[in-house]
Parts: sequence; C-alpha cells; structure tokens
Amino acid sequence: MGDSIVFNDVNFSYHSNDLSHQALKDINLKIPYHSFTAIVGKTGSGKSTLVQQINGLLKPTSGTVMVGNSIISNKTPDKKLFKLRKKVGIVFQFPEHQLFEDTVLKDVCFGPKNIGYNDNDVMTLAEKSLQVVDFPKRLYDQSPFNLSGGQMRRVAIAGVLAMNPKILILDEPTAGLDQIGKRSIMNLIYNLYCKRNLTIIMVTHQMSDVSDYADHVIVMNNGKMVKMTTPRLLFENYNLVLHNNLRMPEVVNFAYHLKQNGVSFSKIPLNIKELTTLIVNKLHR
Amino acid sequence: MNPIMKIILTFYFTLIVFLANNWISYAILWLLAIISIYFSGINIKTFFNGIKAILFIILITVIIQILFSVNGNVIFNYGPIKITNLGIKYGIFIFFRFTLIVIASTILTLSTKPLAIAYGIEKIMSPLNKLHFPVEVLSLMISIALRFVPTLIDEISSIIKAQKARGANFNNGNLIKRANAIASIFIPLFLVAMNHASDLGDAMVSRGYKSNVKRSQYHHYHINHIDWISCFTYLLFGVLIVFIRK
Repeated sequence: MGDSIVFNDVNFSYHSNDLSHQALKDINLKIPYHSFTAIVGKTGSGKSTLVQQINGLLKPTSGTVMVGNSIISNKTPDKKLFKLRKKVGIVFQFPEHQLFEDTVLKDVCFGPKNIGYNDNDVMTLAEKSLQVVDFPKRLYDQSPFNLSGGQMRRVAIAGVLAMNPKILILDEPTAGLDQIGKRSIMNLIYNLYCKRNLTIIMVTHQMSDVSDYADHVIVMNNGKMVKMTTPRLLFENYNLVLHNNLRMPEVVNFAYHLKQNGVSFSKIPLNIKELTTLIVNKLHR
Repeated sequence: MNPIMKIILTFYFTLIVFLANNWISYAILWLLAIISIYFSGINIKTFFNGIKAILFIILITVIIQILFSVNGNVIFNYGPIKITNLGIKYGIFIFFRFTLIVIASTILTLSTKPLAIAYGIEKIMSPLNKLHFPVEVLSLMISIALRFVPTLIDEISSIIKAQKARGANFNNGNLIKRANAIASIFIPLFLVAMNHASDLGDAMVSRGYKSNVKRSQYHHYHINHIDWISCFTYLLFGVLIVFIRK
C-alpha cells in the first residue's frame, strides 16, 4: 500500500513571527494514495505554498504534514527532509530554468546521483525516464539550452522522474506552452499516473485539465482551503466556482449555455466524450 | 537632502577621518557622526543591524593591529606576542576610523533611494562628459543593476528550491559534489539574467531608446537651505580637525 498525504492544522507564514500575513491558514486535508488531485485558486491563494509543504521545502509554522509515516513539522531536521525528497518529486513552474548541465543526459542524471544511486542505476533511470517523456534519443548529447521550450520541459520533468518518486507534484506544468504542447504534456502526465501508480498533485489554472484528468480537486482562496471535492461536484456548484474566481471548463460552459436555452441534461458533462453522448441521447429521444 | 550633496559630503567625511590622529579629533568626528545619524531620521535599530555584519571584520583588523605592533612600551608579553601601549592606542584609532567610515556610508545608503544615488553619481561625474566619457550610459547601467537586484533574488530562491527538490545538498558531501550543487544554481541564474538583459534591451529599443539622446529626469532635485547648512557644518568640523590634529 502506498502513502497518503495528511495535513493537520497547518499554518504557514513566510515571516515566521508575523501572523498577519499568513500564506496558509488552518489547512486540514487528506490526499489519498494514487489519486490525481488538482489544486485550483486565483494567483496568490497559497497553491504553490501548499504543495511545497509536502516535500519539506517549506516547513509548516505550526501543525504537521504527514507523508506516509514520515512527519514534517516545524522542528523536523533537514537531514530527514532529504530522505523525503526521494519519495516526493516536485516539478516547479517553468522547470526549464533548473537545467544546467552541458548535455541532456547528464542533467537528468543530477537528481538520482544526488540521492545516492550508483552510476549504473543512474544511467538506467535517466534513460528510462527520457524514454517515458518521449524524448528523442539522438538529442541525448545535445546541450539542453539548444532545445525548444516544450522539449526543455520534457527534459526537466524527466529529471524529476529519474529520482523515482512515489508522489509527483507539478506546479502549472503547462504554463507558457502552445496548445499542442499543453495537450502532449498533460497526456504524458496522465500516462505516468496510470502506469506507474503515482500519486499526482497538480497546481493549475486550466479548468479543462481539472475536468479531463483529475479525480480530486482542492479549491484554495486567500490561504484557506475552501473545499476538497471531486471535479464533477465542483463544476455542478456554479456559485462555488464563481466565488473563488475560477472559470468553468469550456465543455461545462457549453452545457450551461444549452441549459439556459432550454436544453437541460441529466448531469453536467466533464469532457467532450460525455457531452457528445448526452447530446446524441437527447437527439435520439 | 540633495543626493549630490550627500555623496560629496560622505566622501569628504571619509577624507577628514583619515586626517584625525589624536583623541580629541576622533571625539569631534564621533560628534559629527552622531549629529548626522540624528538628523538623517534613520531608526537606530535598523542602523545598527546594517553595520553589525561589518563590525566583525573591523574587530579582526583591530586585533591583528594590537597583536603585531612593535613600537611603544610592552605591557603584556607571551612568547612571540607583545602587546604595547601604542599598539592598543592605534588599534582603537583604527577601530574608530573604520567604524566612522562605515557609519557615513550606511547613512548614505539607508537614507537615499538607489535611483537617487545613481542620479547623484551621474551629476558628479558629468564633467567627464567633456572627455566623451558616456556618463549617462554609466548611470543608466547603475540604475538598471540596482533595479534587478530584487528580481534576481527571487529567481535565485526559486532555482535553489528546484535543485533542492532534485536532491541537491549544499551543506554536505565532498568538495566536487558541493561545487556541482553550487554550479546548479549559478548556471541557470546566469541564463535567466541574460534573458532578462536581452528582453530589457528589446523593450528599450522598441520604445525608442538611444544612448546619445538627452534624457529627461522624472525626479528633480534642488539644493536647498538644509544642504547648505549641512555643507557648512561639515566644513566647520573639517577645519576644526585640521587645527587640532598633531
């Protein structure tokens, strides 16, 4: 059985003694093992701060975070956190900014080498993760800085995957990519989720990614967790979406417009497939 | 106060610090420093936080001076180490000298906005324009550099986090591992800085920036009576020290 993530009364403030500017307030939540959880909320609502608690890059000012059986609190020594980072991988916003080695392959090796795999294993892990992200083999010895934006992002994601994490956190993984790039990165993440039994936590502004891929969604507003629910329940609740400065995914929006014009469905469709089925059923009746 | 006057007076203060060479002249300098701190309106607490870091380096210099000076009457003797009365005296003088200079420059940097300092430097160096030295370009470079300090600090902290998440360890491990960990911060940082620079260059060109055109100033600084009063006070103290020094 894998590890679930539990937040107990987590408060966090960037200036530890100043409680007036709290970035996180009284967070209590549980992210189950092998779930695909999306975290949504407007800019500055505490999404990124929340995910950085999970591998101890930020320690809670008060309260505890539990990942499996390891506990992170204010007093956890950094040495313990180092272990945790083997288990929890984070892909940051614009991860291509973390590339630094002179070849793609070497850069992907950086992570596994740091956490103590031997040289043979490092190579296998690196090559395997580059294959997983569909990175062409002939470019392994290229400098990572000669690649296109989408390819750099793949290399950066491979760099985190090579550490063999059980929990993968992605902070706006598709920001700044074109439509095709976005689609292919999202498909890649979804494949990883299915094949590797990973727990995926994804911070995103793309509501269609939430409805298409996630099975859980956490709504953040102003440092507080407003709700943890499923995408379907979130998008059925028009007011909840509106009050937290979120938008409906296109598909859901379409269904709402149809409803306003007199065509109502039995349920809210979450993706094109569901929408098509609902329309077809309506037409056949 | 006018930034030009502030910069000139800070330089002037540094000069007269080196003129002082006996107890009374140092006392006069301390008086001037205290007056300046008082009228600068800087909170004493923030002020001392600012100079605490450098105090350590000054103290080391003083200790070396005391331990290794050879002139004067020996007060204390242990093996090769001789502490003399003159050694202690000059040690204290050196301590005063450094501290006073640090105080003066701290007053300047804490009470003046970076852009105002850049403006001051530009105006003070403007005679060099006659020698075809690009003073305005230089001052623009200084203000841009100052402007990007906070931006780069943000970038650095996000890069450090990303590499930490990839298991980089900056405190443990052998020398090669650590050097590699540090390279993993600086190489991306340089790249980000280059990108910022080229973006900024493009933005400036697209808004019509040319280096040889006269630029106008958003802030205008005038020299008023406060400037003249402080200028006069500093001159007075300077003259006093010239007469009192041995």
